[in-house]
Amino acid sequence: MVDQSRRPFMAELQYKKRQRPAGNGAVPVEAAQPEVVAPPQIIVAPADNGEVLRAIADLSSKFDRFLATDKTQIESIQLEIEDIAGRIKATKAEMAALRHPLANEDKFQQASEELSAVVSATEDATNVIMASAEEMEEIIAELKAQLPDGYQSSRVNDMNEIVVRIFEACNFQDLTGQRITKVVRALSFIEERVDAMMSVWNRREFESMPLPPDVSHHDGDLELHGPHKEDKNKGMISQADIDALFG
Amino acid sequence: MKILVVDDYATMRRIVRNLLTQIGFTDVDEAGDGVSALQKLREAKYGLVISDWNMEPMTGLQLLKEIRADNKLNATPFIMVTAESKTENVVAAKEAGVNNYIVKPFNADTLKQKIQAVLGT
Repeated sequence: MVDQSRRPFMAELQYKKRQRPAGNGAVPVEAAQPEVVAPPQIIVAPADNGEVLRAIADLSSKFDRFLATDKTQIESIQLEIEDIAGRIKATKAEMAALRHPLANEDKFQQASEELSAVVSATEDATNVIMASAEEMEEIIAELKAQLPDGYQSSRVNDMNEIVVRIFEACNFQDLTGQRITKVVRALSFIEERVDAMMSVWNRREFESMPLPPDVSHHDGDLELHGPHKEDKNKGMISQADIDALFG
Repeated sequence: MKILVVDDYATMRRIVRNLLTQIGFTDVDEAGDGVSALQKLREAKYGLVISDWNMEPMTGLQLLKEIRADNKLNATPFIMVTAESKTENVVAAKEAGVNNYIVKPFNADTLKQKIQAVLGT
């Protein structure tokens, strides 16, 4: 039974209004009453969750395998990463030893300067040898002009052949000069490569590394430099300066 | 006969000059690179050029090619005296028209032989 005394809800009134045929005026009170709608019927069907359970079991099995066997692989990878890190550190230390940002001496520049000094010194020596041989040549020519044919003249000719051998031997200067120039170029190439490798890293990383060991020779507290070019800025003085010190 | 010795290394020019004197060639002139050598060759007549290869700014090979390309100079005998001993270098020099090739270090006898071979004396 519908309760006739209940006031209809606004929604019920609007619904009835929409149901009213066009042109028709009043609506009977009975028609304004809402209809009772039956609740939807729930159909319960038997569920097949076997596939989901199999997937869970498969995943569980994989996870167990990962925990059991891949753990050793992970440890192995960790060890390799540690090894690589150690090698990188060692390489950086070697690079720092070659070209430490805080080192007072540039080893590459030092080596190049020493080699250039070798070329220069041998060139000077060769020119002195050549000049001496040329003087001997002149003396030999004078003697040859004065001496009659005979033993002495023959020996003077022998001397002339020796002078020629001196000239020939002086060839070495040109070749050693060229070879040393090649070494200097190779050093320059290595220097550029080291600089390029170091530029990959932060300069400060190298600053924090230990300074390279000092390779110079010492006599007590005194450093021994060996042969050197006169350079007062580096404390190298000439024989004349030394003589002046001795008064 | 006037000989032009071309080498960027003064000591080497001196050595060649002295060896030439020893083997009987006293009229020797010097140039320190290919460019100045070419200038000298255009200013005076030389019977032989003895040149190093590795020089700046004009190499011995470039000098040789310039000489061979010049109608007035192309008959000038040219001997390369160099430390470059690779086959391809020697072949390149030969193809460019070098008359003979001496590898450093060398001695007076070698120099004399090569000059005689080039000059046909």
